Amino acid sequence: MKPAVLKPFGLICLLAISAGAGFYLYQQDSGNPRPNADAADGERPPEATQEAATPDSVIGARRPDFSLPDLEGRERHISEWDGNVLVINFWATWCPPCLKEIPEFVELQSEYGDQGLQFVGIALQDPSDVVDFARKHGMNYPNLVGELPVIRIAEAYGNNTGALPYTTVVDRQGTVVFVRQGPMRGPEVEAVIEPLL
Amino acid sequence: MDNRNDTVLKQLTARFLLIGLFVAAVPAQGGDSFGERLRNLFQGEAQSSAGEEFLPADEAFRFSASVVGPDRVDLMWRIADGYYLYRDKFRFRIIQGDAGIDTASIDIPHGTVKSDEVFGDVEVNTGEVTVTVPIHRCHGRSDEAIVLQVGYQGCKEDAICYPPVSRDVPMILTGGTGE
Repeated sequence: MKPAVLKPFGLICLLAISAGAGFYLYQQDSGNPRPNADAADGERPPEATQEAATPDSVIGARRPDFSLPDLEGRERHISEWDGNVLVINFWATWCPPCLKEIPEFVELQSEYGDQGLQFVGIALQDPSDVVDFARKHGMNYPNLVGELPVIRIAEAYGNNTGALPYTTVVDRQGTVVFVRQGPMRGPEVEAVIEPLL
Repeated sequence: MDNRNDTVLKQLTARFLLIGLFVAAVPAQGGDSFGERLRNLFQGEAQSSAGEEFLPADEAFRFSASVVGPDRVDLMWRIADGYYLYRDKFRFRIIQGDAGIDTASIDIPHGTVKSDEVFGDVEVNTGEVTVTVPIHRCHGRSDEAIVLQVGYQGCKEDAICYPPVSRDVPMILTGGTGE
């Protein structure tokens, strides 16, 4: 028979062991890189930003630099399109509101492309998921792809929820002039870009 | 003998309560770097140029987990109004510990069928969703430390969608045979 006074100690010990085990798991979990099919091997994320950007903080700022592979696997740098009015659209094929925007973006690219409008799609997923969609929907502008690097770039452009679609407009001087979390219709895009062209 | 069984039962109940408190106190971890990045992104809150505010995923889909038996874990999501989770996007797997899950035996509550222009009819969950995950323990140890990885994905109606969310839930299952 155990003395009654030992019972609370038993509970305390159990709690301590549980907490210790939990802390161990926490440390193991947060300290080790995890095998995960979602992780993009070999992709280089851009430099970390000092502070998390917000939609408000990026308006009026120089567009963040980045490079990503396109659908053919060629590394493309955003500066390639300097001097154009850029519409950078973060999207994914698993995002229905994103897919609804794209036919209108394709039309706008056709209509205003010769005036210096350049859409750049940035897809948050594996390129194999994007190639068929882009072909099927006649996407007439470049698409860059990635996972972790795309998240970092979206963050640098002020996407602080990680949700899609997310669209930014950059003027010919390279200044971010517009940010939209959520879908944009064609006329809304036109209203933003026309004064910039 | 009855007194002894009663004492054992009380001890087990106390242990489950403690473990439940412990699990509730330890936030679910997005263990991989991808998941961590996603979670970090979700800390903030964005406002669109059109003035509509969107919740970070952690607030749109409030997630919690509790151990409810030696081989059962309850997972719960409180989904904000106007948001939904895809029923076919829930994922469960043991990533640490000697245990397994028969995912076919997991009963995810049915939601409502949403007609999507792009994807056709998809079943989505709204409001509160509770999923009981049966854990198959490989050994009869009295305590089994495991990490359950939970995945889910959702959207706000006609507005935005979140990337797949991955949460690692560390827990200790008690009440094995002690062999």
